[in-house]
Amino acid sequence: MPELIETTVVRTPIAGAAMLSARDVSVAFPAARGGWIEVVRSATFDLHPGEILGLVGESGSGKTVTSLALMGMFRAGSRLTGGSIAFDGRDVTALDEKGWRELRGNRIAMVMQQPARALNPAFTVGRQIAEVAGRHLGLGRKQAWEHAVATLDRVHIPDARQRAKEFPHQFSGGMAQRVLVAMALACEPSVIIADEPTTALDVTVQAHILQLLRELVDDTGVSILYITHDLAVVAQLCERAAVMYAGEVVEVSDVVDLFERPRHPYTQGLLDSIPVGVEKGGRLRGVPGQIPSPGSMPAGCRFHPRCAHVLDGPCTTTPLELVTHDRGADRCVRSADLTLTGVSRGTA
Amino acid sequence: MSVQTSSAGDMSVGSSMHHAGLSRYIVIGGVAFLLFVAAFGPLVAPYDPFHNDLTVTYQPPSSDHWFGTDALGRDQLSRLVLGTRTSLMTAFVAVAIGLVIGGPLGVVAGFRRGWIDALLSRVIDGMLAVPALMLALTVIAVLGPGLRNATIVIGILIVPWFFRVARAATLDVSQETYIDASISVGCSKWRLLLRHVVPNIASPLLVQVSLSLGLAVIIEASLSFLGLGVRPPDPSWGGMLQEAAQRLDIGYLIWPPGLALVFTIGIFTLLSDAVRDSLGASGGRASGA
Repeated sequence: MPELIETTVVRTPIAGAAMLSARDVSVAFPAARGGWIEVVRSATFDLHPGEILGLVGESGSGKTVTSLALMGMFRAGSRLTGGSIAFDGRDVTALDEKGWRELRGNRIAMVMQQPARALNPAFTVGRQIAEVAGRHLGLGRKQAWEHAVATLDRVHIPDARQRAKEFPHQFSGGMAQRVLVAMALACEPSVIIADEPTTALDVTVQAHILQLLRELVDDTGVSILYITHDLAVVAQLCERAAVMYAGEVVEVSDVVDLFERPRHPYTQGLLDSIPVGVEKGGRLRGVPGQIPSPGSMPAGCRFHPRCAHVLDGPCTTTPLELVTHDRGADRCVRSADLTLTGVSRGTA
Repeated sequence: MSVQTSSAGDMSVGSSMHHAGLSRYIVIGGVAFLLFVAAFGPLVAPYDPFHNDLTVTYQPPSSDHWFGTDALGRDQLSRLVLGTRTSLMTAFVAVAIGLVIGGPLGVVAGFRRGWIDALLSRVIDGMLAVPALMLALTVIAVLGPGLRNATIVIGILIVPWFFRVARAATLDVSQETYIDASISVGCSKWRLLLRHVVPNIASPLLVQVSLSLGLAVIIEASLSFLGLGVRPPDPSWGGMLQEAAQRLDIGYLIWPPGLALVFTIGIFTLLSDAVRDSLGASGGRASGA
């Protein structure tokens, strides 16, 4: 979508304390045969006030598990096995369920993928939003309803007062996603985690939702953690991005740098997979091999079996840590001596 | 729930639409008829169903006694009508017992999973492993015969079905994205259960209610047939079948209670189909207005 890219201004991240910060967050799931399988290892990144941070990776790279952990949510018996989470300068790692309930929906909200399924079919959308607003903002029934209508209006749902009385199945995918954004927005949170909010939508509707998110960030200063596997969306929406591979954050960087001067070979592989400038009948370079499954991770750098720049020894023995440098951070022992070719941000 | 009668239906799927409409009328008419007979039948019954008249035993159907008379000269029609009330009352109460016990247990098992689910599911499996009639006989042997105890037994027999349906539906609903979405806006566990799970498992439970009504009628008749449910001289369909079975040479004794059972069970089965169709097809619960 070239039009959108041109209209999007690249912002430099606002300096200062992070709104939401993950430090070495690790999450493990119970294994079928006993024991634990680490699905996310040592995820580290900061979400600054008023920025959109992309969390990029393939399916199964641990993006969703990481983001749920940031809301204190652990599915299927999983648990936090290490690291810390800070929200607005406050350590929330050890928060109990009651404490998390106060934050969720109120200060940190989430927009799920599959909008049609993320709404309860048994209640009107207005009622579902009013419920959230009523609980967290202490509004009465009538006030909460008015608040719901106003919020629906704010996400540009036409005829919001009328549509608030309708049920989820009466909404199209794009409109349902707006409803979810409205629900996330209802209590004026500081952070919105958007988990592939446009994956289930067609491209024109996707563009509208992205525009809406950009607008909300500009108007309210909310920070958005945008989870996606789509680099094109990252290019047009995000200021910075964190790339995940096999449960690890492998690179965190400014989006322009990420595209033009990737430092991790996996990032470069992702960029190579973008079908741009490939002649008809030509082959995409992509990344050879497959993503390893949790529980059978290669020793050393998790990407080394698929990496063209692998060095026996440094890359293959000990697990690598995320190393910070002047423009970001990466998890590659050769990032300083390799010069990887990127792409122009516009081509994505 | 209005019946669509637009002409568009006649073009492509005309016959099936027509069929669906027809069976819906049969169901509504049948249920209304049964409820009417159960409620007002005894008031308009031609004779006292308990009145013995040994001068008119084993009368074939006539204008005086439409369905004939039994060994004690009692009017079969009047007994059948009073039996309807007994059958339906028993079925409704038993199903209510099954729903009230089985439903919540199933929801808890499906929602909490873990050891609670394992324990409850094994107990329920155990109940289903024992043949229904044997379980019924055992419980009645302990509690003693009679309609009240028979009703309790039938309720207990139905519990596993409600448990299973509620558990399966809860498991399904718990996987839904909107459950995670509710957690992500700070919903508490109880609220999640009552506001987001329970309303969304109502349809399968409603289908199970109408299916179970038919089942309960059969079990009640079986128990009464064995003399463990309704005790003579109180009339019941099962009891009438038992009396008819003594004199199989007299055909008209066995037809009325037999057909009444077939009719009632058929209507409840059709009812469950209709309930499933109307709730399943159009996201039903949402468009109740």
